[in-house]
Amino acid sequence: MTVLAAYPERRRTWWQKIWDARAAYLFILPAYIPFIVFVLYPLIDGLRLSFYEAGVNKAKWRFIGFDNFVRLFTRDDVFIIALKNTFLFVLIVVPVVVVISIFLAVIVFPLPRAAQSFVRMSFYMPVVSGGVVLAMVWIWIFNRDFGLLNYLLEIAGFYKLLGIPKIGWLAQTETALLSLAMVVISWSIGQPLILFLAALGNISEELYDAAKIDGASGWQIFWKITLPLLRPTTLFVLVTTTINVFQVFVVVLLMTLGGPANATQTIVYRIYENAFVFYKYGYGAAMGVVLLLIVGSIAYFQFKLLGQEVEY
Amino acid sequence: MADFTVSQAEAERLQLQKAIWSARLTRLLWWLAVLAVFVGSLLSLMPIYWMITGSFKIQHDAIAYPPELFPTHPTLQNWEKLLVGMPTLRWLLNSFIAASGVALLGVITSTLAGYAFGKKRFPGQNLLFWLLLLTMMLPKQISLIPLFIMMRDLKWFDTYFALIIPYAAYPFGIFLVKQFMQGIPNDLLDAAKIDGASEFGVFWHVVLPLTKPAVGALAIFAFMFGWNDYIWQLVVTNKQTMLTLPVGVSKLVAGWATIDIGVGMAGATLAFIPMLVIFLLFQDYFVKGITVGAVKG
Amino acid sequence: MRGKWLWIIPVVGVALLALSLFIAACAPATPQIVEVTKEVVVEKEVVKTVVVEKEVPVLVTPTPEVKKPVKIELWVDPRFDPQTAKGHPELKTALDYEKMVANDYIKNNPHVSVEIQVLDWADLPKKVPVAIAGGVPPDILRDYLGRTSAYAYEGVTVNLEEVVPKEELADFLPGLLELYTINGHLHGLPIFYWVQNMVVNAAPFEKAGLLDMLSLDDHDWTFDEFYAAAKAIKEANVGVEYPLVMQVASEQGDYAVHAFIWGAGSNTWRDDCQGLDLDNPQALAAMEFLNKLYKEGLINPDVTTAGWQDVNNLFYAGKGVFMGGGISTVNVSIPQAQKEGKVTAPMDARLTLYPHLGDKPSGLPVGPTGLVMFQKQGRSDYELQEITKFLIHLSSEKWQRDYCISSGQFPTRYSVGAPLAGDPNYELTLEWIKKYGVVSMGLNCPHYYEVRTAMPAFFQAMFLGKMTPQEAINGMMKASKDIFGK
Repeated sequence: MTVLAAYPERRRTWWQKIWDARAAYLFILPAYIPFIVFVLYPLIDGLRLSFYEAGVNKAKWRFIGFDNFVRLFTRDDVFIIALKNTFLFVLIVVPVVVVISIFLAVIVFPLPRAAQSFVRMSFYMPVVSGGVVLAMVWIWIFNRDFGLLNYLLEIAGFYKLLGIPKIGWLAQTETALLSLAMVVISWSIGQPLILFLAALGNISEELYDAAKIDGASGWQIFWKITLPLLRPTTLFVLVTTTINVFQVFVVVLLMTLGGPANATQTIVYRIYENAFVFYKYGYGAAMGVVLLLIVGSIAYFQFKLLGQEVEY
Repeated sequence: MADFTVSQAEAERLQLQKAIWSARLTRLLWWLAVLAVFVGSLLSLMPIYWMITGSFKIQHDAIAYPPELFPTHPTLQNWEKLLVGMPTLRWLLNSFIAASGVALLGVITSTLAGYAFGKKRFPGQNLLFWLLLLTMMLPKQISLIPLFIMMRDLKWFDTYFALIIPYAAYPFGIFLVKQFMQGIPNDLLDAAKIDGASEFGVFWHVVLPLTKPAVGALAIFAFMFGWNDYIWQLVVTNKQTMLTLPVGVSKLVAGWATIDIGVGMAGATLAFIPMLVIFLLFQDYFVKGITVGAVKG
Repeated sequence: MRGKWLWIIPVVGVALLALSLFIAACAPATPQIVEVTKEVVVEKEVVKTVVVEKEVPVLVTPTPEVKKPVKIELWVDPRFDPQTAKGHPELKTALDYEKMVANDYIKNNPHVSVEIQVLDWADLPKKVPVAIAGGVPPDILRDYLGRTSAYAYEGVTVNLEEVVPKEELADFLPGLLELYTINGHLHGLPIFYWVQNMVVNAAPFEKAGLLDMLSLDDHDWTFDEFYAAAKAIKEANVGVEYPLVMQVASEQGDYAVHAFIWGAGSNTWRDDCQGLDLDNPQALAAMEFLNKLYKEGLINPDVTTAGWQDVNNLFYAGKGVFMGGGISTVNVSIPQAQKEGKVTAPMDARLTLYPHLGDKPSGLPVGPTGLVMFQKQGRSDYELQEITKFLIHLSSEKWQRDYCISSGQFPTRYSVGAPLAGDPNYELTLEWIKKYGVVSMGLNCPHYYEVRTAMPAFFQAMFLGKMTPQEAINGMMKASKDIFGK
């Protein structure tokens, strides 16, 4: 490297830049080789099926160009509904998750280690317990006659106030999606909370001390110091939560099966159905392509929004 | 003059009082928030409570409405069904090996790659990173059959390789480490380089200790990821002894006429134990404010 | 890692090790070969139906030669739990049962080894197609017609009419063989089937003195009579809240709902199998009838979200009195539930028929299970022969009879006769099939599952008041047309 430092500053060729950065490539190699072999290649191979009519019998796969895509948007009412539902889902769940987890992290961080551990673990437990248990618990919570939610609402006089009969949260088309959103939110907070707590731990105490000396209030410290320093983590949480919510389907599978009347159909649930119930891999892959384009665009905008100070 | 001074003192006193009250209010709100957080924690623990008590319930009670909060007829028969006569503990071991393998490989590859993406500049960086990101956005069902065929050709069915190696690259982890790296000031790295450390030396001695929280989180997430991958595990294992716990338990649980909920809960509880262990083991990585401040000056 | 927590690892490790040693020491070793030490006593009652005596030629393999070893992979969907069904209380799991059946063949054919996988009906459609597409399918699969027909349409099954001897096939009921003929080929061998009727709990009717409203003498009642009985029992205040219990949350068990469409005189699927056939006044009448029942509180209000377990529970608790079911419900499920204490209301479960709109009850839906053989590259003719022989063994008269008794299903071979003869419900069902015939559920039609899964959403919408019955029908017809690409 000292040899290069002796050269005057001039444009280096592309090859020279690669050579300069050879260490970096070595660092990404252990991850990138398995990535190409086991992730990238199978995905591309799977995605190319979107141009095929592909079922269980490989010998019968045939190329059909854009037919799958045409069909998706002209002859598949359920897919359009699924698109709409998934978008709604994301719009509701992602901001709530990000805000709540930051809020939780900031509140919990000053508490003693034991309390932090407890809270961190509890909120991650829904993830650990797995979909089946979660579904059972929440199906009970949402039950119209015996569920916890209606029980609490009734005590609080909610129904008397509005003069409506008890709501079957999962049974009515208006509330089903919202109810599933609640489940997804409860299950999505665990991971971001852990990450935000970790990130908070990385902020130097001296910054806070300096700010307090300057007379900043708690609120100001939060807005001007904490939040900006949390930006990289926030971007991560935003992008990954969005990706995860777009992929929600286990909850749908276990709690509503896409109903009632398709009110909780999601894109990935459709892909799942097409792959495992109808054995239409080509059609499912086409849906995957659409999903990729949508989520990719959203992620791109999220990076633009929060990625500014973040060096690439 | 005296009037002025008095009213000024008054004004100052009022100001002080206002400040005290506002501080008190903030304190109160803060404590309320803490309370809310703890209530939330308890609610989040409900699924675990359900799971454990459910494993001791007989079928009739397990599906009772309104559901019982505590088993009125506790039984060990679910556990008996789960553990006796079936290689359940072997299944547990398989799951553990698979998940640990994924966690280990995932942490190694992700920290290395995340460091490069986060702290270094190299041609093609954006493209390579976005490729990783884009693959995260697709559900795994899309790549299922090509990957399955690959396992077939490699003859990796019924081996741990099939359960672990395809997850050696963990884009989620790479992204996580990259973002975390951005919180590490560059002066530390420069200082080490000036001191003559090699590339890997900088990584090992300076960067890695600072990323402990990220590594801790990553280990937990990767472990969960490798544990819960039901469909893949179902599809690549055939031998009874090579099943993972979730797959094996589902064979016990679902029958033609009834779904044996109690056994399912017992299986889930059994699965929960190693995950709890892993969680506790890596808790200490989340230590407050590590050495970042110490290097100043 | 902090040392503080490191102690957990060895403790947990030792605990697990100790536990496993304990279990291994105390649990009986699972034997490789299950010795069948006692003969299964088949109830031999006076058989009323004619047993056709057929000379089934035994496939004689010239013995003392040593045959080349053959390995067969068999995947099955277990249809009963030996612990709860009749006949084999000595067996613990479904896998043990399958091993018993296989070993019965192996003892006469030691060169054959069989690897069995038991997969439940939720896992089967995930694992099988991936295995097929990946080129490593099982040799034999035992599964429901609705799924095996899909494989047949994909062309991955072996044409059984080419490998199974004609004399063997002659023993099978021709109607079933027809059902299993797809694109001109026999894609599978049906081995048993269930029949669906309605189960009614007569106890509350007896208590309220309304027994005669049930038409239990000739099982021939109209929609109006059914409606009257439902209303009456609800108003009789004997604990019946929603007389008709069913679910439209998922497509499972949809025959319990379609039964009303059939009862009204309409098909669900077209005869040429090219989609649904609901565009007629009879189907509309059925939908309107269901809608009326729901709006008047005669159907359980959670019909759009209930699982089939919930439906059963309502029935067991006496809240509902009419439920879809068949002979295995009355002979196996309900007694089992009673044993487990799940039945909390007075129960007198009777088998009866769904009501109808025309002049007689409709045909009955049948759901057959069959054996299919998958094509596999590199399989020699010799292996094909051996697998076929094993397949025939699995569908043999002896094991069909055993299976039918254990699971309350009906055999497909003439030579089995009527295994449950003497059981009044069994006799009744056979009589109904003879009198009223069979109705098509579309099991052997292309895109069966796609159409089937598309339907519940429209029922849900109708019940929730989001669509009128006509709109629901239109929606289903459109979905069917979209699926078929018209």
